[in-house]
Amino acid sequence: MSNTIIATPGPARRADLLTPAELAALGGLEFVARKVVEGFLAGLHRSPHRGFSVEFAEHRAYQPGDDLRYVDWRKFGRSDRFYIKQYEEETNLRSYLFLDASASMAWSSQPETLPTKLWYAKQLAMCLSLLLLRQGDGVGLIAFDDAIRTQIPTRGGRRHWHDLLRATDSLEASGRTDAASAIQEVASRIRRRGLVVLLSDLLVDPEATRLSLQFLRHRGHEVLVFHIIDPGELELPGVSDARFIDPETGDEIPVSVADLRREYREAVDAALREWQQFFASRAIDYLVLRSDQPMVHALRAYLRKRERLG
Amino acid sequence: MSFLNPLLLALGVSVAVPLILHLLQRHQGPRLIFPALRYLRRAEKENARQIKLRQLLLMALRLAILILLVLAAARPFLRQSGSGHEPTAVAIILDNSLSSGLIQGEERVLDQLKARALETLSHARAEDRFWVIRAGSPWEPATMLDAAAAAELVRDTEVSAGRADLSAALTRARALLAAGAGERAAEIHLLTDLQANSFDRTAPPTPRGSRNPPVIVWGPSDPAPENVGITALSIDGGVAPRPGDKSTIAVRVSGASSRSEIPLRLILGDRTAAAATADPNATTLLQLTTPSSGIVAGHVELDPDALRGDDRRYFAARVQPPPAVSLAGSPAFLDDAIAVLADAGHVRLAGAEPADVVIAPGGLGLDGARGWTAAIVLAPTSPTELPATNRRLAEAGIPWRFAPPSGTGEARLELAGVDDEILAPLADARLREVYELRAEGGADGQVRLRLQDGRPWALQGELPDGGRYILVASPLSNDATTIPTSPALLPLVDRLTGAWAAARESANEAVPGSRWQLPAGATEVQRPDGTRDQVEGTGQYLVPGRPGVYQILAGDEVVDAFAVNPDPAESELARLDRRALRSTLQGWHPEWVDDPADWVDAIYHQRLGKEIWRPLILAALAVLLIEGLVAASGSTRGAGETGRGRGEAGSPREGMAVAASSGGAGATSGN
Repeated sequence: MSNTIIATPGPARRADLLTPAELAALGGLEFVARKVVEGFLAGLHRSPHRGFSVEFAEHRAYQPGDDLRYVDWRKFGRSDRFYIKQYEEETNLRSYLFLDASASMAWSSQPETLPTKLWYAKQLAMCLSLLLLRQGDGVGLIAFDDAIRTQIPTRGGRRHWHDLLRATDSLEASGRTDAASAIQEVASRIRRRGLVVLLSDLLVDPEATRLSLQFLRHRGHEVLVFHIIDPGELELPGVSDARFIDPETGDEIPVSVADLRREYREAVDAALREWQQFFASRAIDYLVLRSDQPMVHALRAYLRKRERLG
Repeated sequence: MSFLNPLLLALGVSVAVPLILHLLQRHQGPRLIFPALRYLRRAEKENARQIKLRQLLLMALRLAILILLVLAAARPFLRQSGSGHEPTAVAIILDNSLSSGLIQGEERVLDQLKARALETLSHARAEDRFWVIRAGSPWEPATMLDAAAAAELVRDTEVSAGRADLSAALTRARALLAAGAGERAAEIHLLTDLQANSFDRTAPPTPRGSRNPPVIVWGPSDPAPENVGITALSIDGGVAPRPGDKSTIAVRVSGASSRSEIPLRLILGDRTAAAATADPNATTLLQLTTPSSGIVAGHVELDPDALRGDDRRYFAARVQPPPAVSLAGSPAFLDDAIAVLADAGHVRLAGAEPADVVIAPGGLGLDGARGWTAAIVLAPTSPTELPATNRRLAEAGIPWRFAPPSGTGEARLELAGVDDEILAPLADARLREVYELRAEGGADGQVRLRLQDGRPWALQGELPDGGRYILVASPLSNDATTIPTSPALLPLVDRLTGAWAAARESANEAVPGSRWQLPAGATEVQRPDGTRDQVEGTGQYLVPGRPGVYQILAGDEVVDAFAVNPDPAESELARLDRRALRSTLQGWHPEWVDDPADWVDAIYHQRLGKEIWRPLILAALAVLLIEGLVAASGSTRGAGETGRGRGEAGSPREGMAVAASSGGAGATSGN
């Protein structure tokens, strides 16, 4: 009963502010992504972020079927006629979404209540792609594990979103992670500079990955990294002794948790700090996203990035 | 430092548990899928030394906890200089029963027991109090003494002929301590040779919950040696020795069956009056020529062995003329038997003088004035005489009646339990008429002879005025039984008129601790060592524990005598082992010490020095707390840091959005 209430975003609750657990209860990928983006855009009208990159161009007369959200009500008040605000596609930015679909992304510390990191990444990717497409940008998708598994070329247009949606929806997590190979392979084929968005848990070879991202920056791309972390990865579980198994490699480590709890936490902090320092030094935007947090943080980060890109 | 429960130190092997856990812990626990193994590896690599140190510290702490608990369980105490114990009341049970006279090694067991008692007393403090309970002399009162007086009493203790009941002694010691210990701590020191039959195994165990004082037992752990002793002696089967006649002394030698032809001597005064060889667990007869009057006294002895107390058995008997016997009627064969016995000097024919013993076939002869001391009533020769016979029994005050025979056919006597060799010919006797013997008003009697089907055939009883009666369930006629025409007649009549009819045993023998009824006019009792106790005639004399012949004097004249001998059970030297002792003394939790060197460490055991188990328990709890803190340090301290981390803007955790925006802004501006 309570789940139903939480999962139904009423008029007072924007979907972008819902937790992933609540979003997962709403429906499928398309529905959720649309709701999140709509909620996010609705929030923008009340926020100081007025300079949304989709700039107003002109008015035209209202025609049946037009979206009522674009009716200029002020003009209606003055002229007593309906006019629709039309926006100019300001840029033609090409965006590349790199989606980590390795086995580690399929993990959830609370499988019954908390969606996996892959679910979170897929939702976020679809929200971003919807925003980008609405702005008239081109969006491409590269899903990878230790190699590129799916690649959707960069195109614009609303219909392209459905291509992206189908490709993303069918993704299943498997295999090891080799982000560096995927990034370098794609980057070597991209001629036009654009925005590269990496959605990954960054349980990767850090040196190789940094090198590949540095290569992207060197080629003039803007890079935005969403580091998706399950909250269960920030702390060791509440057991005394256990054998921890890597889902990607099958490696096992016997650990006395009590002996290592504090040290593990420090190791996580140090790793995140290293990522942060590296990205800061390379002018790469970096955001740690806990998979139990609403997506509004990620979308705002994207928005800030997009604003800076003009 | 010493320990009250040193055996519990064996629990120290439990320290292996944390060691094993330490070795095994890395192979235990559930298997968990965990993607962030990279961070785990990093944490292990960067903190390997610290983790190892912490694990070693945890193991050391756990070992320390176990060691402290084991030490506490062993109840250590710090020995202080001198006798540094709290005021204590000690009941010393000194087993001076006959068996404690055993010489084992080169020392008498009693001397070993006394040495332990004196050690106890030498470590006493002025505030301590003692009761010395001589278990072999249980009739002696035990009073509360200081150490010096108790030591004197211990030194004066000698082997008693009495039998020890150590279970009763423990109960007595507990009662004494409960009544007199006051605020003092209580202890019982049981010093014994652990003779198995000294403990009453049928005594109910101490109920759970009742508080018994600590019992520290000292006893030899060596098995008891083989022993041979004289365990029984009787003169003429219980008949008083006759003046100038030859009496037979039956001596039973018990003990090691591996020995045979054991020399046996009869000693009268300083003279060896007779000698024989005896086999163990058999009866040997010695001949004694009795004086014409007075008291015959002496002893029978074996060659000494390790336990000398039972190598000699004393006797004292008053020489008495044979009883005057009258026979009612003239039953065939029976009058001939009486005549033969009279010729042999076993009986006198009463004639005109009052009869001591009346033989009354069918109750005839019981009529008239009562002058006899014993009456032998034979069953009537015909069932038609039963009413008259029973009427005569009733008139004589005998509470038994003859009833018609219940069975048919011949019966035989059961002699398996009859320890009287001269009655052996009765085994061949056939009984054709056997009347039932029925008690009136719950009367009781001693069955002298039974039929093989268990019914009584010859029964002996006492009258309220001291007279004795013997009922025989068959008439001694040729029609009723084969006895009159068999060799069994004379022995049977001899026993009927002699030992069975005698008012009391001819041999005067007293049990240590019993009270001997003194004859009128008695003034002194002379002990075997020549010392004399003043007494009053017609009073009672408390029989001491020293074995020997005690003479009762009226002035300078010996008017009576009795012998004091040990209980035959004291010759059985089998000892309890540790398990049997614990089982026998259920509820007492005895602590057994068998090494003299350990005695001083064991006594005053709850109070010798300061017990330190409480500080050890506290120390164990403190270490346990530290162990818990160290074990939980990872999670506890980590949780605290997580809490702090949430408030730190620069933390790479939840502050990422801030970091990203600032970092991103910087990067963008620079781009």
